[in-house]
Order: sequence, then C-alpha cells, then structure tokens
Amino acid sequence: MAFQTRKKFCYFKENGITEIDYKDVKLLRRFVNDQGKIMPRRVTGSSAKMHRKVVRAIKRSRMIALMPFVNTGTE
Amino acid sequence: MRYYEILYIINPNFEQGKIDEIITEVGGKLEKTKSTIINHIIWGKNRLAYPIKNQKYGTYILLQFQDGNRDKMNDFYTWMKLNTLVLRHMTIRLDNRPEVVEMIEDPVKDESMLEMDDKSTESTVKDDDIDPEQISEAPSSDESENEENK
Repeated sequence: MAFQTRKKFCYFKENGITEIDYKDVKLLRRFVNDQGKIMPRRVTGSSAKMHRKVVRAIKRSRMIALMPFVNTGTE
Repeated sequence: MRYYEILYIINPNFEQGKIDEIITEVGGKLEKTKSTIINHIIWGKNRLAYPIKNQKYGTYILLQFQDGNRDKMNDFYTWMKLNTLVLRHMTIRLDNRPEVVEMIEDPVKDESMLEMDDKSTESTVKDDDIDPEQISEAPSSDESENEENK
C-alpha cells in the first residue's frame, strides 16, 4: 500500500495575500508550532518570498507581546 | 514623506479618562516634531504573550502618522522609553499611507480576556483577505481522505 502524500501549497498564493501585518495574530499562528517556534518552509510549503515576510511579521509581533518568544505551556 | 506606525502598550487597569489623558499627552508630544497624526485609536485590551513589568494584560494603542522633523524624533523616542505609563512601544515604517480609521469595530471586551488569548485576538484582528470557507474546508477534506484510506 502506497503512502498518499498531501500536496504542499503556498497558503498566501492560494488566498491571494500579498502583504502580512504583524497585528494579524490569527494568521501568524498558523506558521508557528505549539512551542511558539517558527515552522520551516519545508513544512508550511510557503514560497520563499512570503516566508521572509512571515518571519518578519512574527518577530515584530513577538517584540510587542502579541506572540510568545517561547511557549512552555505553564502559566 | 514617510508614514510610520507606533503600537504601544499601557497599563490595563487605567480607566477611560486616564487612557484619554495619556493619548493626548503622547499625541501632543509627537506633534512637537511637526508630524501629522493620521490615526490614534485604542486597539483593544489584550492578554500579553509574556508578562511585561509584572502585567499580564495590556491596553494596546495604535498611532499612525506622517513624519515631520526627523531630527526631533529621537527626543520623542527617548521620552517614550522613559515614560513609565507606556509599558512598551514599537515603531515600524509603513509602505503606503494608512487609511483613516474612526473606531475599531469590535473592541475586545473584558469577559473575553479571561478566556484563551486566541479568541480575544480574533475579535480585534480584521482579516478580509482570508476566505473563511477555505480554512474550514481544508481540515475536513483531510479527514474524509483518512477515512477512505481506512
């Protein structure tokens, strides 16, 4: 039985997004894992251009405490 | 002409009167640099991702402006940094002129603050670009595929 591989796609290209706002936490949360780490491009499947924009937006929202630097799961 | 955006956090326990006082103070200080303010609005009360000065929550205020005298901006940033009322601030440069926003349509309410921060941010963030149908479709199609495989 062969494994069925899910085809990766660029989320931004599918939805026609060209600019990413660092205040859009709901969108950015898709690109970090549960530890709060930025997921690699090979996992998310986004294009190199958009991945750079995602990384910048996530780092900005971390600085202003909208997203965590580390998420340990303990309060 | 360049456009900038400052997002700053103030203590969440301040009353509306005190918040307005701080907004006028910050706005007055910025206008001394001959900048023109485009938007200066309360973005909402939100749970901070990590505590800042022992505060778990914060009121976010959004300030968008067109630059005036850039030499005087350093004084403004120094004043912001030394200002104890402002927990944290961040400035970024905008590519285009921001649209004038009268009020945030759905400000975060105090009740939702107690829940997960996911929910509180959802109500403040406006994402017209994302198609909600496509988001909901994606996981459901995966599940159906898995069932077929079984």
